[in-house]
Amino acid sequence: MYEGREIKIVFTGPMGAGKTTAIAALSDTAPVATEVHNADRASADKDTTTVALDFGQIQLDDGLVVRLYGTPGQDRFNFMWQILGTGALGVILLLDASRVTALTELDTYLASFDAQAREGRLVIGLGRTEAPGSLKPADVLRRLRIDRLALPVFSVDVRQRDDVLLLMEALVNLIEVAPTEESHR
Amino acid sequence: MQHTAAASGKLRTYALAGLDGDAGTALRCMMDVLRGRVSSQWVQADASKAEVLFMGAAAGGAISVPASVRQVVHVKRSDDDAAGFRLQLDYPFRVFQVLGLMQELELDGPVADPAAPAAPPLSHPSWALFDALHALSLQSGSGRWWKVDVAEGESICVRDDLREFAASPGAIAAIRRGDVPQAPLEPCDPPPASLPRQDGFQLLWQIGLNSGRGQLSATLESDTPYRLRLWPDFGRIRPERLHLRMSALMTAEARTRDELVALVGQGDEAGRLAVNRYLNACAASGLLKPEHRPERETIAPPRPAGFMTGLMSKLRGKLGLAATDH
Repeated sequence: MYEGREIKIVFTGPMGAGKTTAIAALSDTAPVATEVHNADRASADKDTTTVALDFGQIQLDDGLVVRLYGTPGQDRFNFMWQILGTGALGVILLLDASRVTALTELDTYLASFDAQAREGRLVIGLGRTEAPGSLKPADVLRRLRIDRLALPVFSVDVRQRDDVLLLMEALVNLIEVAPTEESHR
Repeated sequence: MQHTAAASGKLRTYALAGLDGDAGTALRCMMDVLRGRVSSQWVQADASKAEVLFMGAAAGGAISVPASVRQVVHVKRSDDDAAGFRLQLDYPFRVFQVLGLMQELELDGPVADPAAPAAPPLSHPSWALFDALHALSLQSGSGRWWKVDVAEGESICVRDDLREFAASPGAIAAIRRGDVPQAPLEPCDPPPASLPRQDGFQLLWQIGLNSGRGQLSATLESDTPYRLRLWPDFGRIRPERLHLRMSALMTAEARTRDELVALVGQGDEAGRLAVNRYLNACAASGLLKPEHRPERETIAPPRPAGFMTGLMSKLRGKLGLAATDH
């Protein structure tokens, strides 16, 4: 905790985008997941899905802990997004670029994490960009331009730890320079 | 732009190039003083979009005049014996001299005067392709193709809207090595299907990175703060740590070249050139937005090492990410 607040980074995005995998790539401890059988195979073809949250942590030298939260992917749990997003240092938004709804999902998540997006503390990772007809980073950048948001977008495969580290490095860079309460004192 | 719309005249744009820091500041001040006293509303713009270019001697005659520029005003020191030009300002400036010149510019209108002195010399040939692409970026594309030879049998074709290019692998490798063609673009037929079409951003980024041997492009000014209007497309180019850092810095605030050099701890010559290359690449790709900084406002120094800075430093250490200088 710092100044009474939790130090947390939130991983968000629709079902099947790789939030659980990304957290597992960074967490010091086996991530706590609230997975259940996936009854919505139309949205994502996988056996299980997260219904409450994923949780992992990175323990720093002096006992400080950075907590990693993954939001539930299914829309009906979207009340959790705001709860988890409140006070987050930064947000990593993962999207499955091969889904035809990817741009709509981008808009939805940007609206839900508007504070972090406007303050430049949000990074976007696009998975499966090689799939035919998939969304490309340039498409997302064009959409961001319309919203006057300058945010980084990367093609990633979150099964590769280096790709998850790339997202984290971009986010750390942004957090370091973003306006904070501390910088205004 | 921070200017108010107090003046009701036509909006016209100017840019500065090759002026020493003091001269640039003084000229911007003068333009503020003159607001409402000349018939047009003059605002400072990116050199690539300005109608009038105030060009100083600090450029050493190596300024490339963007295609948008219709009038060039030569700025020289009062004690300099250089030959006079029709459109000339002597520094230190006097307000009535600047007023007279601005009225003359307005009478001329935005049309080149055939009696004016010859156009300034072109920049170093290593900027040739950068400048040619820059000129194309100012036009609306019509789908025509242009070509430049890179080496024997190797060429690059680019569509005039800059959204696509086609090149042989050898040509792309040459540009990545820094072998940027020094010849102008020529019209050509659409490239054969054997040359795969690629996104234009990759070409613009590489030409920006590798043109001009690391000098800052004449389309940029070292004392103008720039903000990123958009991040580079790191889906198409391999991100470098320094580029990530500078992109983050210019997301949070508009930064001048020298501020970037200081903030990323690249104070040596090689570091300065690396910052220039990054800025040139962003400029070539249309990612930069110049911002007017009110006089006397200085940029905040790097944040003192507070809790958050320390936390991020520890997180970097834990994840094996390179440390940054603060």
